[in-house]
Amino acid sequence: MDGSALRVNISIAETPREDTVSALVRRASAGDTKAFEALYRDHVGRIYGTILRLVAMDRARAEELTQEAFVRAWQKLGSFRHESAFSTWLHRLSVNTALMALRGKRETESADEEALELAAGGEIPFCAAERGDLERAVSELPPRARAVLVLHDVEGWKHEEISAELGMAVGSSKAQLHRARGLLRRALGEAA
Amino acid sequence: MSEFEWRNGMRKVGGPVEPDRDLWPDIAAKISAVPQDLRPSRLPTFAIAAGVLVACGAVLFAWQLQNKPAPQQQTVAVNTPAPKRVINNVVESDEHAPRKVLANANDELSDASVSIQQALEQRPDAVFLVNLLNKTNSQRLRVMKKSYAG
Repeated sequence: MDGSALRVNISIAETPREDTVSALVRRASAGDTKAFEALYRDHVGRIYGTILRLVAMDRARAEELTQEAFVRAWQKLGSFRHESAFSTWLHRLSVNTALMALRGKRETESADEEALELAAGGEIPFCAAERGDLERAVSELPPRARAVLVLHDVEGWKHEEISAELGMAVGSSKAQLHRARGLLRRALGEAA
Repeated sequence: MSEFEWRNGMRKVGGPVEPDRDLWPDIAAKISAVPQDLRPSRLPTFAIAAGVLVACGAVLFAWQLQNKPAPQQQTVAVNTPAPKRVINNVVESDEHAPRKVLANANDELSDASVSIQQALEQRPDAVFLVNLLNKTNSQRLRVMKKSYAG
């Protein structure tokens, strides 16, 4: 078993009960940094993992954005409404933080998107691809296609949620997903 | 490959990942320097309302712009039913829009963008605000490009 698998198991096993989390959130909202540190330790793996995939496996950038997300969460704990799960609120806030950072890059996205779209074809399966190959291929996708793929196929978001988050039509989200999958298949087919 | 097979394959890249180092010391240092925002309910409502109102104002302003006499392409824009497309249509169809008018539109959109960002500060998990901000900034960019081109 490799290290990453071990970390996943530990994280799931140690996921705190919601009432414990709620108590920690209330204490943190009152300025208790120890409680906030406990929340950080409980959630950092999921938050960092999601941000890492959104920023193309750039670990330094993911660390920076993860810090920013937790600092924003600390500042905005007062706006957290306890009727929703804290983990969902924190995850949304973190994705927003990453997407806001990516948004600045949107205009620099290459103008040859049409060419990439055309290149996104074929039905090359990637069943045999290793995690490292997959991560590398995902990280090399164009930013918007990568964001849609990560949010839909990895994080399990619906197209309606993605379209709202990324400021695009539902149809565009579906098209970007189709494009991303095509590019991924192609990249993995060439790597095989 | 079926949807199920694809999703199964993509699970390989999902799941938590621990950072290479403990980020908490840096976070602790930062949060010790920033105060918590303890205004959970009232300001967001006003800020969101202000943002949406200003954005609507910008759209209405552009709508008026669109209805003035102009080149033939505007017939197509007038027939477009969705108000949110107005600025796009103005920028795309009115090749002779005066720079001052475009500057005013840019100011309106800039104010809207600021208001929405303030609202987002209060409700960082609000998906619709990101959507609204993206659309506003996208419209603003189009107006700016048109100003520079004109």
